[in-house]
Amino acid sequence: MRITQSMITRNLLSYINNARQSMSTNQSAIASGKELTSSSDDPVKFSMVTRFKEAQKRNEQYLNNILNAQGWIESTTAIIEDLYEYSLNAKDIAQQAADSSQNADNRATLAQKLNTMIQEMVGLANTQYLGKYIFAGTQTQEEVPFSYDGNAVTYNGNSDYIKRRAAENFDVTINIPGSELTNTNLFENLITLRNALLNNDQTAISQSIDELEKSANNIMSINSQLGSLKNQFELTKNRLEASNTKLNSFISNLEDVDLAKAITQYNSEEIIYKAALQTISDTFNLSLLNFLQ
Amino acid sequence: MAITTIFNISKQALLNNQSAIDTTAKNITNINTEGYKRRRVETSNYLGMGQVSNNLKQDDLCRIQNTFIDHRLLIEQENLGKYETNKMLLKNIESIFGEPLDSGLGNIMLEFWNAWNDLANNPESQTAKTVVKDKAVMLTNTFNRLYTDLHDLQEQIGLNINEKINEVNQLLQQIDSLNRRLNAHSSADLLDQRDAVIEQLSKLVDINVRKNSNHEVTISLDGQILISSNYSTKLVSTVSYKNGFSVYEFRLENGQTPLNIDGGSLGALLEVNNQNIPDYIDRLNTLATTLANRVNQVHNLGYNSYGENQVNFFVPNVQRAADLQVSADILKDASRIATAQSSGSSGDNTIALAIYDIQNEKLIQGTTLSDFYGSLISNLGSQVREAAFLTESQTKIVENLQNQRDAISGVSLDEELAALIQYENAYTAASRLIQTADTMIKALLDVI
Repeated sequence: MRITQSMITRNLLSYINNARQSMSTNQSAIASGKELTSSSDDPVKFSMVTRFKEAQKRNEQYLNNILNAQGWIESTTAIIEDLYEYSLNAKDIAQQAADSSQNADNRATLAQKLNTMIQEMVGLANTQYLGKYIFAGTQTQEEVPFSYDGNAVTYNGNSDYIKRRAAENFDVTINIPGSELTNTNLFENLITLRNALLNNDQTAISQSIDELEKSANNIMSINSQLGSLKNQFELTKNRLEASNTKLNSFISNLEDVDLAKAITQYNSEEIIYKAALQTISDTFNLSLLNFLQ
Repeated sequence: MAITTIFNISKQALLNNQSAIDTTAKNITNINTEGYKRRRVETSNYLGMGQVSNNLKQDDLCRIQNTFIDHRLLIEQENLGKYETNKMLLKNIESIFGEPLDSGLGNIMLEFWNAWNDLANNPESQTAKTVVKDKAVMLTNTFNRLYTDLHDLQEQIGLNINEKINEVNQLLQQIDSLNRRLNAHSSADLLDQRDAVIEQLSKLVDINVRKNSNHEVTISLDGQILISSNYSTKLVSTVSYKNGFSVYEFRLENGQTPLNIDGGSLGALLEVNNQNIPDYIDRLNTLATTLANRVNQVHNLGYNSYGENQVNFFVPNVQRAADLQVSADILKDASRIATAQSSGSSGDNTIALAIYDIQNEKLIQGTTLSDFYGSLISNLGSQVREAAFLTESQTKIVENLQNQRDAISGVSLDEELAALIQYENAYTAASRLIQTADTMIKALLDVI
C-alpha cells in the first residue's frame, strides 16, 4: 500500500482525537464519581438506577409516615395510660366508699373528688396532638370530641379511622375513635358511682366496683392494641431501613465509578496520548527531503 | 538517419521531462488539497525511426483514481452525515428531558406524589396543602417547558432544513455548470472540482451518481433525476402542520411526486423533525393528560375543608402537555384541595392517599405513569446510544475508505521527490544528448 502524507495526518489526528475523547470521558467520570450521567450512557442500567432511586424515595416517604404516626401513637398511649390510672383510682374510691363504716358525708366528699376526676379525664380525652383532637375519629378539627354537662359525657366525634401508609400496600389505622372510649363504659360507670355516692347507696357502690374493673380492663386492652401497633411500626421501620441500605449499595454498584479502575485506565490513556503526540512530531519530520543534499 | 534527428529527439526528451517536473510540482503544491487526485504524465513508447512525436498536452495527464472506492466513499459519507446529524439532534432531545437531574420530570412527578403523601399525614394542615399546590405548579411548568422546548427544537430544525436545501440547490447549480464546461472540454482540474462538490452533496442527501461517457454525470435522488446532460432542477420543500407540528416534504421544482429522502444530514433532520419529535411530544401529551384526568377524577370525589366536592384539581379536558395547568380555584386558594371522603371530617385523608396511590395504578398501556415516562427516557437513551455507536463505526469506515483512496490518489512527498530526481536526471541526460549532437556536428564541420 502506498502511504501518503494525507493518510499519515488523518490517521494520527484520528488516534489523538480518540485518545483525547476516552481521556475526557474518564476524566469526567473520575471528577463526578458517576459512571452514568445520562440515559444514553447505558439505558438499561439507567432505568434500573431510576427505579431503585424511586423505591428509595418511596421508602423514605414511608419512614417519614411512620415517624409521624409514632408521635401520634405515643401521645395516644400516654393518655390511655393516664385514663387507666384514673380508672384504678376510681375503683379504689369505690372500694373505700363501699365500706359500711362510711357515712353519707364521707361519701359526698368522695363524690366531689370523683366529679373532679371525671372532669380531668374528659379534659384528657379532649387532648390535641399538633392541633388535632386525638379521640375524635376523623373530625380532628371540628367540635370538642367529649363534652360533660355534669350528668353525662357526650361524644361529638365520629367513629371513623385514620390511616397511615406504612409501606407499599400496607395501611395502618393509627387512631382510637372516641366511640371506642365510650364503649369501655368508663365515663358511664364513673357517673353511676358518683350518683351512688351522692345517694349514699351502698349496694350500688359495691356493684360499681366490678363495672369499673371491667372498664379498666377495656382501657388496658386498648393500650395493648396500641402496643402491638408500635411494634408493627418498629418492625416495618427496620425493614424499610434495611431495604434502603440495600438499595443504596445497588445504586452505588450501578452508577458509581470504580475509582481505582478509572484512574489506572486514565493513566494508561495518558501514556497512549503522549505516545501519539510523540509519534506525530517524529513522523512529520521524516521525509526524503531531509536526506537529499 | 540525420544527426539533426538527435536534436529533435533530445528536444522532445527535454520537453517531456520538463512537463513531468511540472506535474510533480503540481502534485507537491496540492499535497494538502482535499479531493485532489495525483497526476502522472503518460508517456508512450517512442520513438521509432522517422516518427514525429507530438508535444504533450494537458489531456495526456492522467488522474490516478479508483472509481469503485470513490463510489463507496460517496455512499458511506452519506451515511456518516446522517448518523452524525441524528446523534446531535437526539442528544439535544435528551438534554431537553434533562434526566436524571432534580429538575427532570421524573423527579418532579415523584415530588408531586410525595406532597400528597405529606398531606395525607396532615390533612388538616394549610401548609401541606400549599406544598401540594406548589409542587403541582412545578409539575405543570415542567410539562409546559418540555413541550415548548421540543417545539422550539423543531422550529430550529425547520430553519436548518431550509438552509440545507439552499445548500443542496447551490451545489446542484455548481455541478450543472461544471458539467456543461466539462462537456465542452475535459480538464483534470474541473473533474477534481466536480468530485469535491459531489462529495459535499452526498453528505447532505442520498444521491445516486452515474458517470456518462462524455465526462458528464447524471445525479438522481429517489429515482428522480436532479442533473443530467444539459438539464438541472431544484429541490423545494413544502411544510404542512399536524397538531401544531411541522411536517416537511420534498419534491422537485418541476415535479409533483414527493421525494423520499432518508440519507445524508438532510435525511436525519427530516426524520427527527417528522418522526422523533412528534413521537416524543405525543407520549408527553399522553402522560400529561392521563395524569391530569386521573387526579381530577379522584379529586372530584373528595371534600375540602369548605365542605365542597367536585372541585377540579387541574384544568379539565386538556389535550396537550403545553396546556396543563392547575385549576384557577386551587391556584387562588389551596384550602380548596380535597382530602376527605365525606364532608366535615378534617382528619380524613382517604382522598389524599388515593391520589398518592395513582402513581401505582397501571394507567397507560398497562404501565404506571412513572414507568411510562421511564420507558420514554430509556427509549431515547437507546436511540442516542445507537446513533453515537453508528457515528463512531461509520467514522472508522469513512476514514478507512479515505485511506484507501489516498493510497491510490493521494500525493506522497517521498515519491514525488524521487520522481523529481528521476526527471531531473533525465532532463540533464537529454541536455547532454544535445551537447553530444552538437559535438558530433562540430566534428563533422571540422572535417570539411
